Amino acid sequence: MNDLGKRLNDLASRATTGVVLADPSITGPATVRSVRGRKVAFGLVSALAVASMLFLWQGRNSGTTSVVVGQGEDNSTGFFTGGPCTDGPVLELLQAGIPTFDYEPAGSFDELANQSAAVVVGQVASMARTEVNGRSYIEVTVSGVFEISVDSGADTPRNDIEIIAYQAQWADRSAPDPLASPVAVDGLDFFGFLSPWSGVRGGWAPGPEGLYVSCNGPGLPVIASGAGPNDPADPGQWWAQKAAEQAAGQAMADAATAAEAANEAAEDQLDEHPIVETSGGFESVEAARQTLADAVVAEAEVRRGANRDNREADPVLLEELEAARFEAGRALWTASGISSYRLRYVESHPPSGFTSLVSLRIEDGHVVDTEFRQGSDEADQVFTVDEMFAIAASVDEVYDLTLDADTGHPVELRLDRDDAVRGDEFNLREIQVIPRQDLDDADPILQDWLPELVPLPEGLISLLRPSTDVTQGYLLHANDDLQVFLYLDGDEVCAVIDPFPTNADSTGAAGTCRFKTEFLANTVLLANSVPQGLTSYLLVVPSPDYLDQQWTAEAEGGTLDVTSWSVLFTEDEDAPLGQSLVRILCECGDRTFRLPS
Amino acid sequence: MMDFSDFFRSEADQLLRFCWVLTLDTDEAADLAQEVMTRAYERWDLLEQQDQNPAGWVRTVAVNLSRSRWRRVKRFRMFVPKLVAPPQAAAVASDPDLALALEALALRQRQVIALRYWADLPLAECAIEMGISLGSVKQHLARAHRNLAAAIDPAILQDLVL
Repeated sequence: MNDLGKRLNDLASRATTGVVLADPSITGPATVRSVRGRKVAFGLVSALAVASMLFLWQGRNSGTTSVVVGQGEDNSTGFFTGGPCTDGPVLELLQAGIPTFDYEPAGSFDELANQSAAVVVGQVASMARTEVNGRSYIEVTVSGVFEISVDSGADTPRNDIEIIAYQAQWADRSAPDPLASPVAVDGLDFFGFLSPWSGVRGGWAPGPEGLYVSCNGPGLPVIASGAGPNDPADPGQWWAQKAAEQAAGQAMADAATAAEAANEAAEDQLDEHPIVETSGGFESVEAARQTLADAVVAEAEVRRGANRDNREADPVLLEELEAARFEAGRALWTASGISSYRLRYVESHPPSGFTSLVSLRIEDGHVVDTEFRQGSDEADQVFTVDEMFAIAASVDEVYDLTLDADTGHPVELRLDRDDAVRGDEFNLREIQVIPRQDLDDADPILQDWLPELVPLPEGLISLLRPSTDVTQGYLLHANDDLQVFLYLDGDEVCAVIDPFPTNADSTGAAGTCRFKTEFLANTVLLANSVPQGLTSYLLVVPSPDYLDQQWTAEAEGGTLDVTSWSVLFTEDEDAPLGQSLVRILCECGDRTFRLPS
Repeated sequence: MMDFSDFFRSEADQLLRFCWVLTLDTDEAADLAQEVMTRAYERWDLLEQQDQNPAGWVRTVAVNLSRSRWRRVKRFRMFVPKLVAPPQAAAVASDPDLALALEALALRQRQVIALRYWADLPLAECAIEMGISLGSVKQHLARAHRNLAAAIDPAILQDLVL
């Protein structure tokens, strides 16, 4: 870990000192989560179970192999006699005495699997040469065998497969047979395409292309490889790809199921209520949420597997997985039933430097109000969430798509409209959605908490006039030096600090706004700097949720009770706490602010 | 593969710290880490059966879930005048410059910093965990470097290598 990592770790350690997570295996998962629909998720995870059999095949080994029986110190034959597990010596041992086979190649792993009775993975326990009815065979004793099935997407223990045998006769009379006695190995994986064969002990045999072993790297053929021209050399990789393809298909099917359920739920609501005001059913939303989460993990697993094996992930497969994630996100958004909301995002066109900060009010899916942040460019076209999904589905290339885990809406999109045209790439980022319902829910809470409504000073009204017609507000703080007001402006709560209340024109006042939901969610809200730049303020407004707690502001200059509300300021000789770093202490969590200077 | 209790004992604190770097909020980090561990427990049989890398799995899930938590915490800060509101005082007191710099980072930048420098992952694995392209990871990391360099001693960044 580098210096920055160490500093990060130190910060995190201090911040989390005393925090103890509960072990869910002792406490049990939270009961609230038990109602989640897991059926949809299970299908995907079951499919993923197959994908991850790759790990049984490779990656489990500790990297050591030891010979415990049958080998002396004589290594004159060059065969494996012990020590760290390396593929070459193990292969040499397994290949010792194999005759030349005349066989018809399968042509691909798919075909090889079709020709086999069982495709299995497991561990090699030991190897030995034996004779049955006058023929010589290598018997590979195996353990932990699982059959992996493309069709069912499940893996099944195969305790009946204990010995795999293939013909191999030791013909070198000048050297001792290294498998004359059983050679036990620890940690050697195998991958087998097997068929029943009554002529050998154990009753199972691989074809010439059907047995692969691995110490800790890619699987290597013991006799011959069955890989086709389009297959990876390692059957484990082939299997992982097939399993991931199946997972992608399952994810898409799950997304379609979730979308269908969401549509049905929406239609039911429409039947009962002509205007959809609330979100979709809890269970369908939770199921869609789980599907999206699984799709994210499935994609990561494929990328992680490719990275671990130092190869490129299959682009076709990735495209399918990304499509599955996209559909899962869209299904979740649909299931959430959010049709009226505030939407903010940044649209940027990297080639031209165009940047637009867009704020939209959307009612029943339609844009009813559009604002561009002062100073930013004005976009010709704005997007609702549904339109973001639509354009992402229509462009030639989606470089990046990040989805909100709760509601499925895009959080970040990087798009290329036409990959034959240069300079038409654009990004939508910092995408934020506040449902109308959440904002409406904030109103009664605020009304209960805010003090009595009073007229704002005339000077302040004039000063605010360009941006709002508000004439009344809530006086939070007043002394000889300043007044602090809150006022409601549409969906936002605004605070304004008037440092010169005796001035009729309120020169020097400064304010800032944020959504009601954000106002309620935060505890210490506003910092501001007078435009002239001489004075900075920190406005402490304890959240209504924490009014029963004691609040204290602490800085080098002393402490101040801010349980009701108060103002601290600095960069000014009259400041009660002449300190730029201020700690706000509260049982609900301490926070420290550095005031802008 | 170890059983879940062993995994929990060995990884819970690490995961909690990782979540804190993602969220810069102790309560949020605890909630997030608890949720991730609960999900891991619910799927442990599968994770075990598949012999997956559970530490990587929980990181991926944490990064994914932190996006929605970020929505609640961050909301529209970019639209209001800059509020420099660093995280918990206990952490800030130990390294206020770094805490302030982290607070000012966009989520993606913080994620890549957490994965690259805290979890010590190669860039390719950062891309996997974040579910974005390698190019985008480099872009986010470059921006994060710029922002960190502006806020903390540039000498600290000297040994950081893309």
